[in-house]
Amino acid sequence: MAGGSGRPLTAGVRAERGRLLVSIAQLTPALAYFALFYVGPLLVLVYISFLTFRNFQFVEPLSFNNYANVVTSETFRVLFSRTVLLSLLSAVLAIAIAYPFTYIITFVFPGRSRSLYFLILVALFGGYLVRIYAWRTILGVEGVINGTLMTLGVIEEPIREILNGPFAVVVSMVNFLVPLAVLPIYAAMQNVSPGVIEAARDLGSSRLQVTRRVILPLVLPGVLVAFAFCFIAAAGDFAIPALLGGVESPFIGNQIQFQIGQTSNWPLAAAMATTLIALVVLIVAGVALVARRVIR
Amino acid sequence: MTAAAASANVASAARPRRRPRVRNVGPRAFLVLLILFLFAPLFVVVLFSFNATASLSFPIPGFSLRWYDKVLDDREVVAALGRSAIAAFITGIAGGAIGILAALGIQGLPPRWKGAVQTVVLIPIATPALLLGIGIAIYFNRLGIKPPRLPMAIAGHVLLALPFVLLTMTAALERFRFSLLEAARDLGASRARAFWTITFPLVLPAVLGAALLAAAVSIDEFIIAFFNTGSDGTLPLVIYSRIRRVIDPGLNALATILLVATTLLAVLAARTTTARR
Repeated sequence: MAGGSGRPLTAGVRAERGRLLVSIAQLTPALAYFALFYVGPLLVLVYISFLTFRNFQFVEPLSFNNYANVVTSETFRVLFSRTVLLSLLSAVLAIAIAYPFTYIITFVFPGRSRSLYFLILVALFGGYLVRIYAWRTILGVEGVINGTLMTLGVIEEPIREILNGPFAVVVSMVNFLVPLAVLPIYAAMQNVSPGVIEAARDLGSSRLQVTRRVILPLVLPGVLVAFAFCFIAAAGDFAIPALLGGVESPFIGNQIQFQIGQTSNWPLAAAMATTLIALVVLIVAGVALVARRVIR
Repeated sequence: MTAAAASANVASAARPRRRPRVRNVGPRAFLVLLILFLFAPLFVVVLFSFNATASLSFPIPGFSLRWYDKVLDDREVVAALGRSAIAAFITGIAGGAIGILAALGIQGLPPRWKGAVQTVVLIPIATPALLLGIGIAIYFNRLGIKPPRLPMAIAGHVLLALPFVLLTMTAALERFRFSLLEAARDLGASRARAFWTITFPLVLPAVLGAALLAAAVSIDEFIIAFFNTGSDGTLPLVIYSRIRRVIDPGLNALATILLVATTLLAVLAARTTTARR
């Protein structure tokens, strides 16, 4: 751009600068909102996590005591590892379902991809708690599966193990995560041209090789975003383990809710939440790093 | 055409089509299974909400609307419905307004910044709702703002809705022909006139869709509402507090009402934002 003839250039630069100012003005409400209701609350949360809980008050001095408590407690360690393991499993399963779905609607039935994607959007925005309730209805002791099996005479006693355990938690978690995983993978898959796949096939690659060498490297960013969304949503959940996990499988979220609801120990809850987000970010970054190395 | 001829026609039409149908059996089965997995649980709830008895097993003995009667007579439910509607309405308006401005702003940014800003706006989706929920609760507490607490939940809902609003809005704006705007300006239209005759009608469906999407996010949201509204809860909170009690068939009706509200909003939103290209 440099060195053009004087006047039109300055006019252009001025117009560009004006456009930029308008853009910034238009972005201001969103940025202000973000600062007020996102950055502010999270900063306060981190601050609270360093306070001391005494006589149902949060008081200074600031210390790392809450974090020390979180890291050294055996109970909390069990909760953290269960949260991470079941969330990882759920996220991986959700992607394992969302990926072929996205592939199929993009390349096998491209004519119907719109309506099928539409269904996924509807599933995504429709009924988080209703879904949990539905799984309870289906898997419960007096639920649909047990009730129907007993009516049919297949079983005498209801099977108790299907609800209130890790199984029910993972099933309903995956059920809730699949649409969330489809979104970014679908967006990434739109960048893969069918021609590239055909070319690879014509050159003798197997279906597996095409996926591994052609499609996966191209959609990897989308898959990683999907993993982050799913893993984070699962690890921060407490309603699914509370309503479907029984007493055996609470997540760290349930403990956080307990500390706030029952003991009003906000500082400890804040420290647990901050530890959780740190752990989640580390794991997501680690997975992204490994995936980038392996898939290229 | 006689019946025999018609059936012969059908048979000959069906024969050549059989081969490709067989070829995609795997993908087809996968799609059917996935759709069942996603929607059958919801269908079960809807079905049992019309059950004439309180049992939760197949076969269903008969159908009735008694659970709806029961639920809609319930003051707690009606109050929660009202709060959910208020929250959804405000989230829709606020989310839509802030979102459209921001989307237009992103549109005008130099390409280098665009990507960065588009990533930053996704951050609320990538933050556990648990963190946002307790963060907002403690934040207002520290600011010294006490109940009514519904606005606190709404503040969180707008935050959660903004990324979705921005995603759909920026996608929609990419498709618009803003050259029309330049043409109008070149032909001497004022900035305001160009906005009202070109930008506004072009953008309006997307804005409506985005607002509906924001409302859908709000109506369905549970975790932030849980930590902020307390006993003056929205509809999902009433369901949560009742799930643990003994089997209550009224819950099926309640869940169906919530489901219909969210699905309706989501369908309308998805249609307005994905309909035209």
